[in-house]
Amino acid sequence: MELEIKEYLVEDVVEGLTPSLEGTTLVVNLEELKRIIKEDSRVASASVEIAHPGTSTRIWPVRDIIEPRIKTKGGGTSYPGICGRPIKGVGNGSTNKLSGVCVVEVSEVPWHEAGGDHLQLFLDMSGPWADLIPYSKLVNICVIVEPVESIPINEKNRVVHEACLKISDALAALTVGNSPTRTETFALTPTDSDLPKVAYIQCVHSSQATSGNMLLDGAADTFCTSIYGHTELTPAIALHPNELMDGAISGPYRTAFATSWMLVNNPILQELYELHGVEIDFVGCIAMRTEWTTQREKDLISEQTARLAKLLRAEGVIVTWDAGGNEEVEVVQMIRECEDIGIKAVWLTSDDHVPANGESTLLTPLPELDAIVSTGCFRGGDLGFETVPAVDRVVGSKKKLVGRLRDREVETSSAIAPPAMFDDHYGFMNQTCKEF
Amino acid sequence: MRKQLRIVHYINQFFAGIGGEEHNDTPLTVVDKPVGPGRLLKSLFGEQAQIVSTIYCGDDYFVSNEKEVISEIQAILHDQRPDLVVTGPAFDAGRYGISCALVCKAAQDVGIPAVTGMHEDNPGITTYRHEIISVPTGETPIGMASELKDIVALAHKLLEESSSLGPGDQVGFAPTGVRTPYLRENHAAERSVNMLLARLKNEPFSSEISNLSYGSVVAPEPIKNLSSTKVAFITTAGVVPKGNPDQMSTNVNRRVMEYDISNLEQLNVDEWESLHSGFKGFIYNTVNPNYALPLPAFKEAERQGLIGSIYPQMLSVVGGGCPVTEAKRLGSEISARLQKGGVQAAIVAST
Repeated sequence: MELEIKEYLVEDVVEGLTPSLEGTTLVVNLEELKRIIKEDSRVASASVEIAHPGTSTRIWPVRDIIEPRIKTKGGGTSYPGICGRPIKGVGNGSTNKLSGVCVVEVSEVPWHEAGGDHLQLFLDMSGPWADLIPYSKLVNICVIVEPVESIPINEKNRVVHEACLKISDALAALTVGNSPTRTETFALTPTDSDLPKVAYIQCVHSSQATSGNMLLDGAADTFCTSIYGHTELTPAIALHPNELMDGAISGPYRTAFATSWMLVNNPILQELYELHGVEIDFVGCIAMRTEWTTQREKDLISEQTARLAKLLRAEGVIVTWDAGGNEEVEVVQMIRECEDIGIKAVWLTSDDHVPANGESTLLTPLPELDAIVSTGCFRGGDLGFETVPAVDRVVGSKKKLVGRLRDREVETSSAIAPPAMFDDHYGFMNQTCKEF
Repeated sequence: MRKQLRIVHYINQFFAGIGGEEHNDTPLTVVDKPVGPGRLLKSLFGEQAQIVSTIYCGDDYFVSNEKEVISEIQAILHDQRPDLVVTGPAFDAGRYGISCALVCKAAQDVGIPAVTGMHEDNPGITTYRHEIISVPTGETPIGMASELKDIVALAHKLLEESSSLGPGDQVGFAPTGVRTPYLRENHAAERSVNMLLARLKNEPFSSEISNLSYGSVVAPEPIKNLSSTKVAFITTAGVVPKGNPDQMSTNVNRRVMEYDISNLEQLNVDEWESLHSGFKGFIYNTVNPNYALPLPAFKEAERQGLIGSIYPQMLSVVGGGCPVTEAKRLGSEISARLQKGGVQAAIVAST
C-alpha cells in the first residue's frame, strides 16, 4: 500500500464567479456552493461564509472541521464510509489536499437526542481562544446548514455532514491540474529486521451505549467519530496508517480536537512514519472503541486489542484516546495487558483539569502505567482566561444557550466562556501540565 | 553593598554536636552563631548573609512536643525577623526530615521563605512535598558540601522570584507534585515517540504524570444478618432537590450533602434532579431520578424485611472530575458520618 499526498497551500480565499485555485489563492463562488447544498431537498436553510484568521469573528456552533481532500489515483474516496461514501481503494494511489483552509460545519443539529452531549465548540478567529486552536490559523469556509424538522435525528446528522463533505469535495477538486506545494509518499516498506516494531493504538469513543434514550431504544448508529462510517461498539480493528491518512476514521465529537481535520492530520502518524526504517519498524495501527458498559466487555476489548498488537508483532505502542472517565477504564486496562505480554506502551493523555490540590486527575494509576505524556489541561480557567472577548461578527447563530440546564440565552457576540473541553487528543501542541 | 541577608538555621542534636540517639530528647535550644553544617553554609553565603541564629532540637523531643516546639520556633522567628530559614539537610533521617519540613512550613506560615534538603525517600518530603522546597540529597552526609552549595543557590532564587519558582526538577528542588500548566519545547506527539524510543532502547525516561499509588481497601467481613442491619444509601450522581438549593457544583465537587428520604417512597422528577456533569442526565432529570438512587427498590426491601431499616438521610456526592485524593477525603467524611449514625452497611449507586 503506497499513498502519495500532494499538498496545495492556500494563503487567501476570495470570492469570484469562476471557482479556481490560482497559485495560493482559492477563488470560490459562495452562491454556487450554496446551490450544491440545496440540491438535497432535506436541507431547510444553507449559506456559506468566509472567516479570515486575525479578524474579530466568532463561529457558533461548530460541529466539525474538514480538510478538503480528493483522491486522484488509486480509486476510492477521501473520508470513506461516512455518510454512505464508498470504502474501496483507500490508502493507495494519490490524494490531493488543500492546506491553509478548512471547511467548518456550522449547525444546531445535536449528535443525538438523549441530552448531555450538547454542542459546545465554537471558534474565534482572534484572541486567546484562537491562539490555542490550530483551525483558527486557517481560512475558515463556514457551511451553515439546517435540515428540515420532519426527519429523524440520524438523518439530520447525515444531511448536515454530507453537505459539508460535498463542499469539501468541490473545493478539493479545484487542485486538479495545478502544481502541488509539496508531495510526500507514505508506505510501510520492509525495514532492517533489527529495528523495534511499533504500532499505534487509537482509542476512539463510541456513544452507542449512552446516546440513546435507554428507556426506548439503543442507538448503535448514533453520529460521532466513525470508522468507515461505523460508530457502534465494535471489536478492535487493524488499519494501515495510510487508511487513517485518507480519513478511514473521520467525523466529529464533543471536543475541539475530535474533528475530521485532526484525524487526517494526526501527528502521531507523521512521527512514526518519519522514524520508519530509521529507528523503528512501523507495523500498523489499531482502532479500539471505548465506553463499553460492563466490566466483562471492558476486559474483552482490552485483552483483544493487546493481542492484536502482539499479532502485528509490536514491541512498542503509542496509545491515544479521546474521552471520558468511563472510557479510561478500558484504555488503562489495555495498556496493562500490553505491558503484561511484553509490549512497551506510551500513553498520550490530557490532564483533564488542575484540581485545587494540584494532584493528577488520573483515575486508575496502575503500576504498569509508568510512561505518560501529558497534553495539559484544556480548560480556559486553568489556562488563565475565564471568558473570551466580545467580537464584531458572528457566523452562525446569534444566540447561544448557556448554563447547566441550557436555560439562559446570551448574545453569541458577547464575552462568553470558552468551550468547556478542548483536550489535545493527538499531541499537536506543546502544552502540558508539570509538577512544580 | 547590599543589605546582608539574615538567616535562621535549624538542625538536630546530632548535627549540633550534642550526640546521637542517646541525646534525641535534647530540648529546643537557640544559639546566635552558625553551628555544624551552618559553618559551611555561612562560608558559602559569604558576605551576602549572616546566620543570626541556629536552632537545634532532639529528634524525639521535636516529634513528641511538636505543637510547643513549632510555636516556640515561630516566636523566635518573630523576634529575629530573618529573611530566610534553612533547615537540615536531613539526608535519609526520617524524624529529622519531618522536623525540617515542619520548620519550613512554620516559617512559610509567618511569611518567611524556607528551604531544606533531604533524600527523595525521606518521609519529610514524601509527606510534605506539596508544601516545602527541598533540595534532593544523598542518603548520607557524604556529599554535604556540594548539596549545601545547591541549597544556597536555590535560596538565592527563592528570594528573587518566590512566587514563580519552578518547575522543581529544572530549578533544583524536589517537584512539589502540584501540577501546573506549562509549555514544553516539542509537541506532545514527538515527545510520545521519543519516550517510546527510550523505552525500547532501555534508556532512562521520565513520565510526565507520576504514577501515584492510591493503595487498596480491604473489604470488611460480610454482613451476617441483613434483616437486622441499618442500611444507608449513597449516590455519586449528585442527586439534589430540584433547583440545587445548596449550590452543589456539577463537577469537581468538594462536598457531601445529606437529604431526608425517610418519608419518601420514590424520588419525584418534579422535586429531584441530578447534577453530575459527566454522564447523560436525560433520564434522571426528565424521566426518572430513581435511576440515580433506586429508592422504591430500597423501600420495598425494607417492607419485605430484607434489610432492617433505611438510614433516614441519603448521601449525595458528584462523582465527575474528582481526583482520587479528594474522593478519599470525601469517603472518610461519609464513613465517619455513617458510623456516628449507627449505620452498618451502605449501598453506593455509582454513575
